[in-house]
Amino acid sequence: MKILRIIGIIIVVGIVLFVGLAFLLNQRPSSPFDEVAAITAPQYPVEEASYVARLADCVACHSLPGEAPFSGGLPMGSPLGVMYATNITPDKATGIGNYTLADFDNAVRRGVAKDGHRLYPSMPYPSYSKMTDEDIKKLYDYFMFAVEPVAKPNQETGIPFPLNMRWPLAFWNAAFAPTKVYENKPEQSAEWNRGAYLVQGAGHCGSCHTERGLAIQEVALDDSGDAYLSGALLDGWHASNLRGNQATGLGRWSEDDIVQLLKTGRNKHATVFGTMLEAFNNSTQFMTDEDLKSIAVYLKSLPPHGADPQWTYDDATKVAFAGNDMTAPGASLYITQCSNCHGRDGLGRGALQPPLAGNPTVIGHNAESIINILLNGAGRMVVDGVPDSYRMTPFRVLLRDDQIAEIATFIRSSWGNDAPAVTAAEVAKLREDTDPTSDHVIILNMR
Amino acid sequence: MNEIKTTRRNFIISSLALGGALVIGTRAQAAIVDAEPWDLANPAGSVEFTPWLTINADGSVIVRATAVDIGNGTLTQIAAYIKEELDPVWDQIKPQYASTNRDYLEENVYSNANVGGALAYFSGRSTGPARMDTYMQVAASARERLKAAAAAAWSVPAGEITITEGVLNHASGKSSGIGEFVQAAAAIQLAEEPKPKDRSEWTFLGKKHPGKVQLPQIVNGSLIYGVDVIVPKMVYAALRQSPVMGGTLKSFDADAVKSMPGVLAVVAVKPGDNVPTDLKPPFPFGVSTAQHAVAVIAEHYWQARTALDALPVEWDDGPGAQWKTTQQMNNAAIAALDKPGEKVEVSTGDFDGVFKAARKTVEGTYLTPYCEQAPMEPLNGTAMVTPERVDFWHPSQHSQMAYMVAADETGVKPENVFFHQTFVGGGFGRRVFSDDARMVVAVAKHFPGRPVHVIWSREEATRQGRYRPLMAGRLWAALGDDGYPTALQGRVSGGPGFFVSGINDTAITALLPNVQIESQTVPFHILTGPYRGPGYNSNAFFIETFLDECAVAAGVDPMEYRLQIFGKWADIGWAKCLNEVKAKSRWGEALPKGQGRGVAIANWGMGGKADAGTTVATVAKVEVSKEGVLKILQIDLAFDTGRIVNEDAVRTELEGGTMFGLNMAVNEGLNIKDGQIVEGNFDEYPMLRMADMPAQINVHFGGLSDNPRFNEIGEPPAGVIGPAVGNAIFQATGTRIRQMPFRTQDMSWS
Amino acid sequence: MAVNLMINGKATEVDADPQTPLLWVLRDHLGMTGTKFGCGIAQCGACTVHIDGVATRSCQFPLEAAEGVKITTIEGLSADSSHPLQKLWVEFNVPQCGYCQTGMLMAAAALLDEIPNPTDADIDQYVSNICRCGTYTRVRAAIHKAADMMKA
Repeated sequence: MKILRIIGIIIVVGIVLFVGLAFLLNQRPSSPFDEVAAITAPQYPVEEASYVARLADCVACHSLPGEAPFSGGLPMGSPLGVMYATNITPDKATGIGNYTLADFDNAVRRGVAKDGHRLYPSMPYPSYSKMTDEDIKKLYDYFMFAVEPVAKPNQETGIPFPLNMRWPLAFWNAAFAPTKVYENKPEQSAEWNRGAYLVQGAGHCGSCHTERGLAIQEVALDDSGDAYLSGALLDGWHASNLRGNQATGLGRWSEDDIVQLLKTGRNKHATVFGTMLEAFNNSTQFMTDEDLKSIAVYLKSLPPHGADPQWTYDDATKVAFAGNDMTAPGASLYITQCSNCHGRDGLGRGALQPPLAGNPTVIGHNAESIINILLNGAGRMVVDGVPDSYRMTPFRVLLRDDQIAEIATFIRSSWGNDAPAVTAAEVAKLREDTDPTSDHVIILNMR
Repeated sequence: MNEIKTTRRNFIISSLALGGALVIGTRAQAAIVDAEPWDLANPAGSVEFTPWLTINADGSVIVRATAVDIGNGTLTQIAAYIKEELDPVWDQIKPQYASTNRDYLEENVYSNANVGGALAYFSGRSTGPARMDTYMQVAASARERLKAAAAAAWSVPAGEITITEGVLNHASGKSSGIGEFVQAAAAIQLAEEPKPKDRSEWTFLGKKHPGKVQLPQIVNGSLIYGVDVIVPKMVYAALRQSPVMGGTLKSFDADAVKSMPGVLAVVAVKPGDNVPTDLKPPFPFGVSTAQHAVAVIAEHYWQARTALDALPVEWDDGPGAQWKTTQQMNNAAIAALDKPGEKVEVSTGDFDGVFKAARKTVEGTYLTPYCEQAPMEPLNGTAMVTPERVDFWHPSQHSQMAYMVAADETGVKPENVFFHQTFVGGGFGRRVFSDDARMVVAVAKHFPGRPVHVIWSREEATRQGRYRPLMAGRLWAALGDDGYPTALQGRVSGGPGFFVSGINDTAITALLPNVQIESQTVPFHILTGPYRGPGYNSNAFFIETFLDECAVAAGVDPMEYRLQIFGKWADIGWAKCLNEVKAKSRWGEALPKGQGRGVAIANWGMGGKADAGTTVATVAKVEVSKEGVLKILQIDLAFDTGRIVNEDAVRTELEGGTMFGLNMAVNEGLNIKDGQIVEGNFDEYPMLRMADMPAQINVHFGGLSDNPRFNEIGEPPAGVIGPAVGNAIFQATGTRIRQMPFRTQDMSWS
Repeated sequence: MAVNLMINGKATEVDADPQTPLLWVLRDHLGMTGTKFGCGIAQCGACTVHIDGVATRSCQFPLEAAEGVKITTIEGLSADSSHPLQKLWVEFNVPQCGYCQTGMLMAAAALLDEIPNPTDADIDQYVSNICRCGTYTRVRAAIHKAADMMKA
């Protein structure tokens, strides 16, 4: 009896504590801007303000092609159900027109909306929390004064009850979402620190490139974790390893290579595709050369993650082709379907068609991106408003699962590449899970 | 090694130095584009015997062609007529395209009712009686006049003179090239026009089967197709039309691209922006209506295309956007079959009564999708428009239509419109309606004074087609006690522009005593047009698959079933063709599991009559893996066009038609999303390649009936290949294929 | 940007954007229209040329990658249409509309250079060009015959 009573007391106390904690955690966070008077005019030149919006790539999720910028609507799949990016134009009724700077800050850096409801962490506030007060002010400026208000109600999420209750997210935030602005490391250069700030903060690179844990949290939010930016699966793509791994990461890339990829979408090792294509089209190409250099310096400082096999070019494949040796499975398909653009030597054509030999995406352990791009092709890179003409074509219609698996296996094991084989079953699964990419040009406008 | 510097401008000058005029045909020997003005095409010392025929002083012969050569060999065929009657040296016969402008000025000298009428300038039918007789007659007449002239000079009877290989001969030893007598011959009036030779006297037609006259220019890349036209001061245009057909152009931001390299202008095209004429076109001008479009004009094509991609454009999709998915359209077409058709195409006997009394009936519902002709040369054309004059170079399938469209679009007087027919990189019906011609001229007239070369991207051409229509069909048959049909009912439906030929005018509807065929139009917005065997290519699939289902229901071998039915038809060609493929395909010989043979027979162009059109019977042998991967092993094909004149030309057309029909049935189908066509290029709209070829395509000549007609050969195979393959799949797997394309159908078995 | 090209044994300078596909450099800047535009995505093969002897689809070959390689086009396959394939193409009446055939010839010529006696499977693999007219059976026959002739 006594034991039961004790248990009962514990339960009651537990519930009281839980409710109390939930209540506390669901309080409106404090913001350094709580006391700031209402801002009625822009505080910064619009170029400076919009630059922060470019860095944070808000447009990628909050805009749809052909619709008003930042009026929301992009559906995002999650294990819980589909959710929709919201209207963040300064419309008072349906957007964020009533947000004070402090409200805005709480949304961007803490994941709390003006009415107190918690945002889903598909909004990368755990990263944005590292942004400086100054950048938040600029961002606020941009959305209040440079973006046209658009009256467009937000779409309800497709997440069913009770999973759609937002208050438990407060616990998630307490556990996983940092609340501190990026702090410079004095032992590192100013350039490195700027790069770290951009990568960890506004650039939110880890949202795609860092593995997520059981609670969908990024397992590391900065370089203190050695899985940080070591590559992750997302939306049918494998965001590649950005650490120093020689074969599968950026080990063989120079700082200039990194800058070139982020500025022009391509370099001698690879091109942007998949979701990185969107990040490139909307964000990285607009960054200053100094910022891109800083990002490169920071990324190049990240040591390899895990085992670090070395890649060197092996011309055995080229020699086999020259001798008409098509015995390797997939070799024949490669000749008819791939070699026209990627070459029998696997080295691609200039900067426009990427090499497959030594391409980190090709030799990465996870083949998801390779299967996806073979099935669905690539979208179109848009540089300075001009769409690219050298688009990877989809093979979804032309080739069967077993044929795509053969090609993927071939390119992953040729020219010195040494990555595991791909099965037809893997292709079949991704075929079912993905939609073809269209050759229609998608240009998301910021203004 | 010479260090040379070539620029585009230099090239034009050098090519002009060769050609010397605003004509680009200098690199193509066989059939230069019509010179302007046309009478300059007759070299010094030559004589024009008739508008169809000029003989030069060197003995070479210019013969003028109306029927555009799209690879079907019309130029070679008319050269063969001249060869038969006049016998010049083969290589010295130079076919040229007949000027449409001259035809206009000279009261339809090339297109009156005696020489083909509205279809005179159409790309085919060169063996049609109107054309065949015309060419044979003018050549015979020239021959007799040449002989008469030589007879006068040599003082011998004309009847003793012969012409062989371009040389006039007399037994006395007198001999001379025909060129020497052209002037004298031109002055001669024959007392009586000679009759063309009787077929029994032919020495060339039916005996020799020359390859196409333009082959030498094809194999060295010098043949000029529309896309190869280069004229001085030419600029290029890249084109985008409303992604949803019938949509309108809301706005575009030309400022965003005007500073891009080479960009000269951004122009908008809208329908109804033309200056109508009172010309009587071979097809109503309505079929050539332009869609709303925007085009970027630049110095080089790649610049135009790059800028077009970068051009911000907004469209108003219009009502077509209501069609969200292909499935929605398919469902609408099939739903239209549930009620009686708005139009009764055929109604004979008491079909209703027979059905009510029937003990056994069979029903089948079938569907064919939108398909794009996809000629390998993308749509294009070059036009220079000024207020007074239009010059227009274009790979048309109906040059008279294109010519009149150019006048109708610009308002320039027809006598000042000069249409230059180029070679054509495939047609298959796509270039007949001349909507492409109108678009070229409509773009060019916004950039007057310079030739504008408009080139569609492959994606633009694929998504802005005039397609084989989406069609659904449902057939019902009442079977008698012997299992054979006693009555037939059919309903077909599809978007505006669908065709019923091949179902209301074929042998089975003529044979059965009780028949009703109805049709129903569904309000789709997708534009349609001719596509190799229009209507027939769907209807033959419907009816021949259905007949196979009847045979199965009757428990009769499908070949025997057809032989029984069509053995009763007045046209013996049907049974001959069936018997021929039955024997040659080893019909009935046992096959391993997963393999099967299927048969189909149909006729293109018979119009419900016996001894008309071209009948084709096909047996397909296929293999289907357990996983459902289809492989075509063998196609046997027999045909009856009555008679033939060039065996090899017939064979190539039948081989080509077989491949076309196979691709259509197995691969082709366009999808719709939010009113737009989804597929843009060959990655999404697959084509059979060498590796997909059946090991054997056997064309057999044993079906020919020797009926006195020379009929068409290009379109007929398009109808039968699909149902033959589908019926073979049924034999191999037990799965009945009722919808094209077959590649989307599950054929797996266990 | 001026780029130096080596086309059919001649040094040629072209001034065009380095991203321009070689196909359009040949056709539009140099007026060499024997190389055809069919799809623009390296699927159909109408634009096939030889790059250092290997059949390559020029519509997806950027100008910037064309410097320093040897380019052969149909205009340079032979000076006088004397290549055995060109002769046999005429003899066998291979082409119909003919539009794809220059690309087909270039693919076949490169095949015979690499594999003098090709099997059907070799032909399937190396000549994956699209012909909408359906000339494949004759293309195959002409390649086999050419292989025989060139052996002799």
